[in-house]
Amino acid sequence: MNQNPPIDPGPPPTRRYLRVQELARLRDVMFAPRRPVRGLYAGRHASRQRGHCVEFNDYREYTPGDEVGDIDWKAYGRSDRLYIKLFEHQADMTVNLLIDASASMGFTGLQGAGVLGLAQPWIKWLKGSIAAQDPENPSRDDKRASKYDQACLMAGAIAFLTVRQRDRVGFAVAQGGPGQTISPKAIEPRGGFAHLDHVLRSMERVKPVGRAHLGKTLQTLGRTTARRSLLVLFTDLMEDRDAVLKALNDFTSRGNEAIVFHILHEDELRLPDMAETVFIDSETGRRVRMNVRDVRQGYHDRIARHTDEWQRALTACGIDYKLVSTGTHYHEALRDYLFTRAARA
Amino acid sequence: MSMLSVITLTAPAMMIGAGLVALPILAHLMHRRVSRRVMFPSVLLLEAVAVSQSSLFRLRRWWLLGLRCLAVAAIVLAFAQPIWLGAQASATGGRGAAVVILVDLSASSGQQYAGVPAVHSMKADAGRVLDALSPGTDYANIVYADARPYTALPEMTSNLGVLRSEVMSFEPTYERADVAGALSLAGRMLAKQPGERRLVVLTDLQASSWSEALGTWSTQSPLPDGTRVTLLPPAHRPPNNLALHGPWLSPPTPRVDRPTRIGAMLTNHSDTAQTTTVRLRIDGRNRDTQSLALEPRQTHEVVFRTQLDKPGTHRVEFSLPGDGLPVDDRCYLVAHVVEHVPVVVVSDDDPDLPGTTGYFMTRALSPFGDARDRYRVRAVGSADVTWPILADTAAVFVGEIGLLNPAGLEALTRYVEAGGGVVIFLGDGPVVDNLKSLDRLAPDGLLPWVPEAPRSLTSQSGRLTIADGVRVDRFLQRFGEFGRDALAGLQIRRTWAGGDINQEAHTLWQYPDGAPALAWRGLGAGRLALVNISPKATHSDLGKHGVFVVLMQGLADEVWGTQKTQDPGHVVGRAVQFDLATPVDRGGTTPSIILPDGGTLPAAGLSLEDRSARIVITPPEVPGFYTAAQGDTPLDVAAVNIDPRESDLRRIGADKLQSSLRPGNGKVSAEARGMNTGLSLGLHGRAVWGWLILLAMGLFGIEMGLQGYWKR
Repeated sequence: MNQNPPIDPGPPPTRRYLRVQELARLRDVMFAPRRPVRGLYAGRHASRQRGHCVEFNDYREYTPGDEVGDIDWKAYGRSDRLYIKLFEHQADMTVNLLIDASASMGFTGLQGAGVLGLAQPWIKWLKGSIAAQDPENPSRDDKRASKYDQACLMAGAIAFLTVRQRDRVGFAVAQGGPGQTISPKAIEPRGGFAHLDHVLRSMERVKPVGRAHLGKTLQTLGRTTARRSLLVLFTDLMEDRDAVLKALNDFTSRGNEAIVFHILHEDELRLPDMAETVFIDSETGRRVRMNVRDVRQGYHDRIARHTDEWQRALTACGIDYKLVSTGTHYHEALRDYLFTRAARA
Repeated sequence: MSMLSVITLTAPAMMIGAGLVALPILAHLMHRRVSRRVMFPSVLLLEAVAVSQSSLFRLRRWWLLGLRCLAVAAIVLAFAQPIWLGAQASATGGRGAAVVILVDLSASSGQQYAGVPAVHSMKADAGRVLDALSPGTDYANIVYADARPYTALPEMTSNLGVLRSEVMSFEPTYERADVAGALSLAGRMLAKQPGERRLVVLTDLQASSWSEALGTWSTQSPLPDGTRVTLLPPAHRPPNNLALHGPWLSPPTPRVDRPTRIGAMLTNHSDTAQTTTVRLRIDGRNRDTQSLALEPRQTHEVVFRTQLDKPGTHRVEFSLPGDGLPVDDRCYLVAHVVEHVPVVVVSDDDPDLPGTTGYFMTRALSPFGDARDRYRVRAVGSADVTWPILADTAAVFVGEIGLLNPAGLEALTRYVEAGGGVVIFLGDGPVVDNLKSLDRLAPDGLLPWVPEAPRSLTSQSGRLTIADGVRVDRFLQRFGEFGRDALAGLQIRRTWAGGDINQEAHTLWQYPDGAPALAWRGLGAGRLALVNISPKATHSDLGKHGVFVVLMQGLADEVWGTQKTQDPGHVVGRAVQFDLATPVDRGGTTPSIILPDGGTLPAAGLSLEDRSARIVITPPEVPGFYTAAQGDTPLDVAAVNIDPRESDLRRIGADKLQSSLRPGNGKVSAEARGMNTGLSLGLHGRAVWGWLILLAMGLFGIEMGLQGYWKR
């Protein structure tokens, strides 16, 4: 954990979703997989690949077809049996970032909707005119940041950490459904800050619209990810649970590791003070009119149960789950997760 | 229905505003349609819990809508000004109310706010009060408070239309109002009417006027029991006001082309410093101006020094630029200019017989006997002394007379009180009787000392000396060293002994034994001098010396030249009595009065007293010059001004007025302007619009409270 190389002397890319100064708090944190990974190049992560390397791992009996040179003759002398000496191979890590870019991820909160009385439309209009936001800088007013912004900030931080430790990072968004899920917006895993800059630019170009069809997207991604890698998924999990779980199971069963950051807006977790409101679903356009004050507590219970069910289901599948609110600063959420992960390792 | 029978709407037209109830409904619908639409990602979760939303919630909006509609309806109803008749309607048996509107028409009511006369708002208030009455049921009348309060109609009437036309026509007067009389008149009008009685007072609350009125009764109110009084004071603060008053002239009867001082008092009745310009006009021509700065509440004497070039009557007018009370921006004065100062010598001696007192006095005042003389001497006997003879006389010299008749005694006393000077030489005859009679006519006496008995003097004891004060007394300064020597050398053979000198008297000459030789005492604005020496040849050789001329003319100047004309008190609203300078031709036409506006009072407005020259003008209504004329011949002019007390616009406290007006078991209330005053009378019941406003506020409060509660 203390063997992180210094940050590259070249200036890291300054992008909307990467704030290097804030990541200084994570300089002693290493983003490592919990499972052995398979990499192309020698790296710092444990690999199931075995080869000629410095770290002895195990013996196994010789079988026809093994290289004769791999036989441990000293062991043969002691046991009169042919053993092949196995060495631990340390490989680089591939991190695939998958961000849910459905319309629901563009939710920026319910600001101005919770005012009183007959003057509410006017006050809302007034507040709206005063609280103009700079769309190019979500950090200027974090309360106006969308879930997608929060996801991209975390993904950008993870990508930076990954590149900094000379691993490879790939990026994909889940958007638009089958057939166009990966190919137009996916970036093959590579290393280096130039690649990081490419990833960050791609994040900026994406606008959360439509639906994600996350299950199918994960299946597609699992097929295209041949080797064991780490998948970091940022989503609000407003999806068919079974489809998502099945896809994740398939993904992890191929030796991949997955981490799910459940991104929810603060106003989703705790409904603001509002009177009667017409809620329109971001993705389906479905409308429901209700008085928040009446359903507020029930909703809070429901959303808590919803997140808990996801956590239990994912954890059961061996997938890390981290609930992240837009009300929490992304690097704090990331640091909490990484520390917890390191403690478990 | 029972509710409707005990509520009446004073302004039912305002119920048109009931349409405003549609506002909350419209807002409700608009609110429902346009507000609070939000995109939300977790609608599925919301739907899952929506089933918990109770049906009661759906009623909440209707509850709130109902409260809002009720509140708006209450406000609209309040504007319609409903009256709760309730038990009172049955208690009065349906009798109408009696309302008297007392309108203060004093000169101070002519005050203006930003150029708008206050009487306009008084008219509007009176109209609203009448509007609040029920024609044919309620009885009303208007009492106008001026110098002689009167009613618009002889009796209370239910014909309110007549009173409305009256309201449109009243205007402030130039008079000082008899508020106490007006209240008494209003009380008498109300006392004739059974049922509820109401007095509405439209007044400027002038402190001096109301204080004077309140001082006329202390324990018993002029209003009948049960009378409810409503005061409607002006909405504005009293305006700034500068006032001219108290014009005077010095000497009172100026001589042609001789220095004359004309002045008036200028008072700043404002609470702020003021600057102004006083203009002097004589006979309609501008003569002079003065610019002055006055501190708050300061009174300053404005003096113009001028000369009047023609004998006769001159009309003097002071004026200011317009201010908050225009009626006191002018004041008027009449100057009678003479070529010779008129003096009267009263003596029963033959003034043409050398050696007599009358002879010496006449010669001393008129040494040339022609136009060169300063004084025009009129010699009369003691029996001819009357007020008309003395009225315009600068000084009166009395010596060697018989017993004065009562008319003569009264004329002399009145003359002194009016500012004249009387010099009495003590000689022979009923001196003591005459003087004691004079002394008795004045409440505190008139004489500087009372002679008791004649006495003869030796040459030594008769030597005159001048008392202390020669350096400061202007009269004594006339007698220089030679004069004093001449006085010391007089041969005086007979004088009068008497009692102590009055403390108010001033002794100028005295004998070596301390007995007064010349002393005078003031009475009113004038003075009376006793000279304990007679110029008669048998009593002294005073008349033969030139010092006697100095003495006579000095005394005449002293009592004439230093005096001012005193305010004759000719004010609007009070009868003006003046004595004509020109005798009336008794065989001519009946004298008439030419008013300031050029109109003429018929003979009925003029009365002659004493058939000599006294004229009484029935109370004048406007300030200015009133000319008494006989045919085309002007007889005299009188200047009439407004009462200077009207200029002080300070107001009496409403609390003090309430407590002073409170009848036996009545109720007095002072209401602030801004309310619809006519409707606030509550003649036939209790006004409930205040409660409706309260109800509306309560409903709004409940609405907000419910919103707050349901919001939690």
